[in-house]
Amino acid sequence: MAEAAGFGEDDCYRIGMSVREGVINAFHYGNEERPDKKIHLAVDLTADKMIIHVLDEGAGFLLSDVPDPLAEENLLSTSGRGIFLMRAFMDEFNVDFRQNGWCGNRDVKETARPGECFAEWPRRTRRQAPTGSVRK
Amino acid sequence: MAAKDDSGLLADQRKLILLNLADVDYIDSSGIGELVSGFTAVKNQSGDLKLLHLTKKVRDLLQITKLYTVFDVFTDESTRFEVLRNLPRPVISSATSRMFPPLA
Repeated sequence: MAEAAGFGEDDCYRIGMSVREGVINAFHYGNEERPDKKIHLAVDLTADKMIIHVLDEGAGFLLSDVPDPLAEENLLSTSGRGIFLMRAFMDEFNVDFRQNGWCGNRDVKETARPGECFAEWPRRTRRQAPTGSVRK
Repeated sequence: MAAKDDSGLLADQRKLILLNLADVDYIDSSGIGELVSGFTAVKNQSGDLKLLHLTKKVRDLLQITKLYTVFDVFTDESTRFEVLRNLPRPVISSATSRMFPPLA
């Protein structure tokens, strides 16, 4: 999808890794690997941005609570680098944690259910305008 | 990840490992965690795990995660042989199907 939207190979690699990290985090930490819980993946493609949302049905979390993997005491940790990589690879990154299942995005709202908590993953600004028409 | 993973090598009492990542062009946070886990396990057994032939993407990942300075990384054959000659029981574990020939 990113390639069709005009992103280059390196950007596609970064976007792909960010999406995978987001979905893995949603499955492992958010939904606690429970098969009865869903992961919602939504992509907004505008004229100048691709916005990717990954939503789980977990309790939510605050970015400020996530340990810094670059801190000396965490450097040899065997986990905890997923969000760091997403932040490194995307132009913008945000976690949206709302108790009432509302994250302010139309597409996401339509798939939301009350009580869900939202993790909104990441946004990447297109560096080069696509040559073709923009698809949504 | 590897043809024979680090825990398997450790179980065989192989504690000095040179991991060839020449054909590994994708690694995510889980893969990095595996590398760190293997590195720590080997170090805890008084061994060592070194990396050989990193691709650009893997090298970049190790650099932004500050792990590039934690691992000993080698890039050429001569260095590889020099390193292995200094190891009493060298083992080459390849993440690819391509294995290096045995040392003379």
